[in-house]
Amino acid sequence: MEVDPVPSSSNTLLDYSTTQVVPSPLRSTRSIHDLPTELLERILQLSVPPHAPRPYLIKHTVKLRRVCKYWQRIIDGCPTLWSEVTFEGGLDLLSKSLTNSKDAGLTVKCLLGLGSPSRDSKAMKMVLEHAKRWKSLDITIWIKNYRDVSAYLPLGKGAGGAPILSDMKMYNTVITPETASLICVDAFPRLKSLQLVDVTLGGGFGSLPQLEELSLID
Amino acid sequence: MSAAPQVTLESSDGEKFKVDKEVAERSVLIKNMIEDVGESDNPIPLPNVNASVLKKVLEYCEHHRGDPLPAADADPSNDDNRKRATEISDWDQKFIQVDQEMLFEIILAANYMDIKPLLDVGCKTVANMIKGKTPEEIRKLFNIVNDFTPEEEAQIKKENEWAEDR
Repeated sequence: MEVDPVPSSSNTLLDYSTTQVVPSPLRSTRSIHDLPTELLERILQLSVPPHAPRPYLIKHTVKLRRVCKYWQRIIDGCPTLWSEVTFEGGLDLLSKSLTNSKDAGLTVKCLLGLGSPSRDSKAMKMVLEHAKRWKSLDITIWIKNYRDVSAYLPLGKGAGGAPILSDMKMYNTVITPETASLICVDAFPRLKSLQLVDVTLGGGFGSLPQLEELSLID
Repeated sequence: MSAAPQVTLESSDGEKFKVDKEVAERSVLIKNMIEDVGESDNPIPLPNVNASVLKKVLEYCEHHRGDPLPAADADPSNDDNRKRATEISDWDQKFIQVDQEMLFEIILAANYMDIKPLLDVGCKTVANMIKGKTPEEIRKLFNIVNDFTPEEEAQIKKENEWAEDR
């Protein structure tokens, strides 16, 4: 086989001593919108700072949607960017999050007692329809005597449960014999961590599941 | 002792680069081409990568020639994965300190040549540029035209008031 000679001007790796960019007249001007959609989608996913206070992902997502219509379309089609579901942004945003997150596992943050009971009830109903996708659940009750949480969370009573839920936090609530059924092992077969913060145990809380992490914080 | 086998790569603008096969094979595209075609002294054409970009890409491949092959994609929605996924080594950070145009060229080349670790470094770098910025700052940074009408923008802003940093 004939060997193609390599011209003396050829580069070898020995030449690579700097990172200086030599402008080339042949190179077209590139911008972020020259990247394929899947790369821009990946970049937007990576732009969410880790371990930021919740709810952060959804705030970041709605902020990025304001850049331009192209980003808005990409973001709306990226389920993981919508996987943090919160009551804080209202029912429209909650609905959009649940729709756009498609099949992605969800981090659910329920704030009860801040709005009207009917709004809370609607919001809980909406997230309950997606309980099979819950990975993490935070429930904060802003009114100490808000005992009706058990009515909103009938998971422990044979409603299908949350099969992939791995961690759950409850803040500022009262555990009654009814609400104790919320942490029924059958409803949450993969539950590993349960934190009860400022929770009043009102009885009926005798049989806790075996968990990797269980903390009660006053 | 025999010299390491080498291959010649040809950029879109006709420049040839003679490199160790081990270095060139950091690119899955080139590795597959070599496996498909077999040993050959003909230059391997890279019609989507010009010389200045290919030079940078090969600088990266040379530095990382002995690195283990990348693992499968981790779920970026997971916090720990995301933290790991946004970390960039010191050398890579210095390497990727280029102008924006070159940064996007490197990302496109890494994507075309199928060099996952380099693609990751490029994407992480752009992601880090976005972090903590307002939509206005992001538009300015990347020269993106705001194509929302004033009415649309006002509506979006209103809908998302709760999400503004307080």
